[in-house]
Amino acid sequence: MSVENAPVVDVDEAAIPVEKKMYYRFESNDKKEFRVSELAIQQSETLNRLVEAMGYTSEDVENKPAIAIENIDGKTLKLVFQWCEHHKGEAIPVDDGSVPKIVEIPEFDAKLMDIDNGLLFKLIWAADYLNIVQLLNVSCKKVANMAQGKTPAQLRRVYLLPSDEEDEAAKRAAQEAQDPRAREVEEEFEERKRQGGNSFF
Amino acid sequence: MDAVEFWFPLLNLPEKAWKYVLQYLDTVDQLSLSLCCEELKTIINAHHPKACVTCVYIKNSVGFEIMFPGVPNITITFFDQEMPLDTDPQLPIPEIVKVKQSKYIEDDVLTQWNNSQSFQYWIDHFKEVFDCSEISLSFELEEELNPIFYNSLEKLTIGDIELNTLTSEDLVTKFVSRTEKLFINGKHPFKKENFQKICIQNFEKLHLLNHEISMDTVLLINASTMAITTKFREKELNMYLKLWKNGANPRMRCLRMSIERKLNHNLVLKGIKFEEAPHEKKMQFKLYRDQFRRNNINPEDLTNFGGFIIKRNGDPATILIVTTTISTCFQMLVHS
Repeated sequence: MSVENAPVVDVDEAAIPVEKKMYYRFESNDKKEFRVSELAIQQSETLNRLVEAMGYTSEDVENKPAIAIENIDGKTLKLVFQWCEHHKGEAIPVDDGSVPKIVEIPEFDAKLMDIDNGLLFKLIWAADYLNIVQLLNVSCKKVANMAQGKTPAQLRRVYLLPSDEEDEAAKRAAQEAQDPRAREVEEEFEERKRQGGNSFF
Repeated sequence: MDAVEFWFPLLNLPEKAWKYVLQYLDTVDQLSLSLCCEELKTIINAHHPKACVTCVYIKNSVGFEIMFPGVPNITITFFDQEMPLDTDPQLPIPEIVKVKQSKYIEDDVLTQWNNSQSFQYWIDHFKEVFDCSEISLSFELEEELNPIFYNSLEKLTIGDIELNTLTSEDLVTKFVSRTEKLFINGKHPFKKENFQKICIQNFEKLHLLNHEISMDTVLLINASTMAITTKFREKELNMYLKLWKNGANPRMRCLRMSIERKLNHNLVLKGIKFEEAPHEKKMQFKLYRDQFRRNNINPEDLTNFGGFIIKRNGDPATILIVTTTISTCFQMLVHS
């Protein structure tokens, strides 16, 4: 099934097929609403527990307000639910701690994740927050693939990694910003050293 | 500067996610990342399988080979065309190192990295990132190498040494005296009298392969595990077993001889009291365990059944003689 044909739809789109299956309603932090099948929700441990705890009936789903997901925007949530609908019913992988981990990105997922890095970043945060194990696996694999064949210097730029010197400088700056008195003491100490005093006190 | 057309803030991901990313990287990419900053070095160390062998090879190039269980190996060539010269006052730092990841099915992946680190730095880095407690040295060199190079190896904990070289007897001897596992395959630089001193050393393992060796030398060996290639006949092996029963090779626990002729086991055991080991009795030779591990071969493949049991002062030893049409493999395991 192609990404375009995945069965996640915005509610403001015309006809929603009436099925016996229960479709839950969710709302993103920018007020976009989605209907997601019960089976698809099972891919997300967080949402699955939530709907189980709510114990909604078919009437509740229609009559009560949509379940708000406050820290994920509509664009990201649409991708998440498209993924869940496509993979509904599939077994959820268990992390057995084995190394190295082997993950293949299926064609559907590759197309779904053919997005800019900003959206990919949000997708990973969403997969982690909603605890969607396999979506987290494939999206992290995509990020890992960015490293292929790169030199250390290239990787620093690809992954925006600070060098040890930059890291140290940032820590010092943060420390100084937190405690201006510490900086004064340090300056006073340096001044005394320049004046030839061996003892600070 | 190489162009990188995109970026991704890896360390701003949730902790679980960026740890997943690190685990999905190829080993060579993990190595590349470990060189970026101390924090990542520590994280990669925690998540990558430990190296089973890290080897410093000194051949026509100088470099490292790092082997992992179930993961492609990495080789890094430090000095290639431009080996350190005798006149260099200190070990030079090459501007480029070649990094190769061996894939099982696909072609090897070869990249070149800019380098600003010393040979010593790289060794320390591997030890830290991949938990290599010991390092193997592999000498296969036709020419003399600048002695200052060897200074960089002086602080290493040497696991084993593989020799196939005629160069620098003095230098090689220094390292051989620091190892308990010596594998000579073909050429070695030792003069006859010095070679005998090497044989007397209390090795845990000594392999003398593709090298003509006399019975006198075999009897000098003090290693607990020995592997040799010889042209011994039945008579000589029979004499060896009788000498062993009388106390020769007291430290030897495991012996494997690869003999370039077909032998008759009745003649080998002539005049020696023995009993046949039941065929269903399992006996595992661990002789080549390390070598097989390097080649990802299951050591269980070395399991043998049956054989002949002889005794020295009540301590039994099992002998297995496997013949083909042109060669014999003689194995002996002392059970004490």
